[in-house]
Amino acid sequence: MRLASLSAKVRQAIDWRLPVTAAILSAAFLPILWSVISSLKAESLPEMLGMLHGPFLGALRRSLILMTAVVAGSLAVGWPGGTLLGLVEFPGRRVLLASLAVPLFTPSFLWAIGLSSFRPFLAYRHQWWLDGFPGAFLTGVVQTFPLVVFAALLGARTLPASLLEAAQLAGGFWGFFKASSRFSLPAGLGASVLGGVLALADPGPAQIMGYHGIASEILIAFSARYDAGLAARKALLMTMVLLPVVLAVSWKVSLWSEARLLGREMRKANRRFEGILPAVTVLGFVFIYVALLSPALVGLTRPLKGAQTADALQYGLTVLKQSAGTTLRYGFTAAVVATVLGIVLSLTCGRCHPFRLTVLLFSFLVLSLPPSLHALGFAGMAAQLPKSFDWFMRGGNAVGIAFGLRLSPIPALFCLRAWSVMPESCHQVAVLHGVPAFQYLWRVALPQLAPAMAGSLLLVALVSIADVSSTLLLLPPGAGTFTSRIFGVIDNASERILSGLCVVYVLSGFILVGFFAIVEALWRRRLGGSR
Amino acid sequence: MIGPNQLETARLESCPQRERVPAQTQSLTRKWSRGALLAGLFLVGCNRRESEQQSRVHSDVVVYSSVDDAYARPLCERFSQVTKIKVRLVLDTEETKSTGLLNRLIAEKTRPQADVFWSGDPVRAAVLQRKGISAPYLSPQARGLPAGISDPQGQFTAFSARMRVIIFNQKLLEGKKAPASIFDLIAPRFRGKACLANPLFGTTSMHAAALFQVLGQEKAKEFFQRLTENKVKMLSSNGEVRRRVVAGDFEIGLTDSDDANVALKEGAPIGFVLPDQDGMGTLLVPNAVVLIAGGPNAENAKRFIDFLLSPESEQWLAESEAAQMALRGEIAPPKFFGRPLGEIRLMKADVAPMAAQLEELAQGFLEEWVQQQMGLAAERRPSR
Repeated sequence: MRLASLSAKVRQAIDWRLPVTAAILSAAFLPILWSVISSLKAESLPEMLGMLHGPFLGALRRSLILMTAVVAGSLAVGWPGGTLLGLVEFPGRRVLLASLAVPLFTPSFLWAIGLSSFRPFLAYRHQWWLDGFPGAFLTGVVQTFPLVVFAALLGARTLPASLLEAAQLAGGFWGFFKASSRFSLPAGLGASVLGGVLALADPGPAQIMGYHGIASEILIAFSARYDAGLAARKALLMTMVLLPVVLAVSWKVSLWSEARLLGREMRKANRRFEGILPAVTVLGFVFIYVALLSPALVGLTRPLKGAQTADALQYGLTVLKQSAGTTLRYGFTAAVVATVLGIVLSLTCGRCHPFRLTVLLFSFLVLSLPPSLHALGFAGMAAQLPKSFDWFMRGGNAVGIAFGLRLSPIPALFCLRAWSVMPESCHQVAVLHGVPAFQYLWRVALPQLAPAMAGSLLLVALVSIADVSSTLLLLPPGAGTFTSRIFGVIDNASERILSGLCVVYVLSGFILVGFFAIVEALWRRRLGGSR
Repeated sequence: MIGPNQLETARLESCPQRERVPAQTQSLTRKWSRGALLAGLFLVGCNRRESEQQSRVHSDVVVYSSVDDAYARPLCERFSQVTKIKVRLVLDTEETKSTGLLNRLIAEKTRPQADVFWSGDPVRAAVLQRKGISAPYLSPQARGLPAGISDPQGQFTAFSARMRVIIFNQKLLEGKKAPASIFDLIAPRFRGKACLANPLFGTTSMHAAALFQVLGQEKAKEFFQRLTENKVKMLSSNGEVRRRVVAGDFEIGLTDSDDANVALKEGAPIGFVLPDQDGMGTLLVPNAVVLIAGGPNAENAKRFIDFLLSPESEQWLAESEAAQMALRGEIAPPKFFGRPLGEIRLMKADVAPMAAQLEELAQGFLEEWVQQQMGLAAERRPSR
């Protein structure tokens, strides 16, 4: 009887899940689809096949090499680092975590310019380290490894205490660390692939460093030929080539996540360690972290010396005052839209494996396509719609809405993972007692998803604030975000002004993230202890 | 139907000890939800208000510009002060890291938001003309501007100009002869010591198209080939050329006059020359202003164009840090150039056909050349 009731529930769930999942995925994909469809002609297929010649394939190969290297590099630094930060409590841990968010909200072209400006500190024969592949790789790793750190940290924080205590008893700190690392690997790998895909789709650093990948090919179609259709077709071709790789990784990570993370004991292990080994490993990670970030930061701040430094900083503060409201508003809107869509997606998928896999696949697809393509599709749709839609498609929140749609896969991934670690027993009890679905979601599921929601809100806000190319295409006339203002002066403003802007941007972002970290700490304290 | 208390009991009984959701969490969730709802309503309100502001068409003009913030914004503010018409500005740069406003204009062609496009060079304006996005407007303020550079039907009008210059690092060239021609880039003495920006983008692309026009196909191709042989480094942008020459990574670089001016203002140890004064001349890169067809505020757009083309605006651009050369002979040249426009030998390149020429080059020779520079030559198919 009970089983029959459960089966009916499942059937009912599939009935509404499918259209809801399809609707959200379509909404996220629609602007890209618009760009692609409006660019397709009768002769498009032969033309696309014709593109598959030497330079295109060469660029694709280079992009795949870069992506693989970024995935490997960021995983090598971020996975153990994140696991360590998830396991060991030490003074200044929260400050370190807040500072790790800096690369996420700083536009990639600034890191590339920073690295490029670091050249004078190196002898000419060593400057190749910042050219071509090494430069693009370094920029990619700097931007991706914090994502891996946070993902691995979250993975390590949800480990079953009994397992860890057993590992600790058997192998001491190393045993504890190794056992934790195995659990945080899927999350770390997923994040590194995500970062690698984002690095592959970003033309800025590659252009600055002189590494001609597929993103540069697409940029040439956009900015040298002014042919968005050609860019769309190239992007489509790239996606078709990438699809098997993305599919394989999504499948593996999905299976791995389920095998490792589903329903288990949630008691937390003791995270206070005595002895020199934990301290040395933490110091080692901090050293690598500083070594990775400092060249770009030193390069960016190098021109700030002499009497005009105060003027440059003053200019930065003026721009901050003028653009902070708009920047935060767009970030907030993007975060809310993406997180709401992500939660709904994760709820519709639940524990249904085909659904989860579909969402994972679409997530990587949407994120791997160039942001400009999405933004241009959005702008093109807005131009075709009647004027009465302008408040939605061209108003102040259009930037946030477009970002929210494109980045909705990020919260979806976060919430899918959070949903999978919720004990299934909760759900079964609710079903057995006939608890209304909405009540169950409101009182049981959402509080459990809260940390993932908070994390994705922050991450989407940071990533969308850092983006420039989409913002420029969607920004309502007269408005300006901080990053678009920086972009507006990079070509001709003095180095000092650019440095002043960068310093103010990074510091204000750091303060903002620090504020969130403090609020989060107070919230946890109010709930009675660390999670 | 079970009550809330039974639900709570059932839920707590079903979960292990540490899985329980504290009551405070639920209370906080409720508070956060209310907060999120209020914030959502606020955002919708803001959006509607902004949309209403956008529909107040008579007091605004929407300007898209690829000119730098530092020069475009103050001039727009001056216009607003004089006319009480608010300028709503969207800025881009010539840097090659974004898709660019031109693509936005193309995407918005059906129902444009922009009234005016203020381009840093006339080629982008000519592209808009080719795509049917510009509308003709012959401004009365254009009197006194040389006719040959602008479109005769008024699809775009050129005014204040930059020039393509060669900058050099004075410390590295101390005691040596300064470059005098763009052909010095292929001179053996600068082998591996010269740089230029990617010729597929920005003013460097215009320069490339001008070279093809003035030198002819064969000589231009040979010039580019010899750039490769002389190990001239291709960088991402003119700004990067300036940075690398100032840093001493290269002795000379081909860039824009405003880049040279910025470096000199910062006290960088560089010098510059207007190339080919004894030969084919220096390339003039004027600004160009375009009236967008079907823009929402056509009358205000015309007033803005009139303002930009006025002698006062040219004067302001000449005196500001932009150091742009006025095209009207009666306006004093910026100190940076040291001589009036009439005394400078200019390249005799026709702007109007450049857009088509550039499009052809971008999918032909220049694309191949860039790929060659990026080390993709070996991957290229045998012939095109």
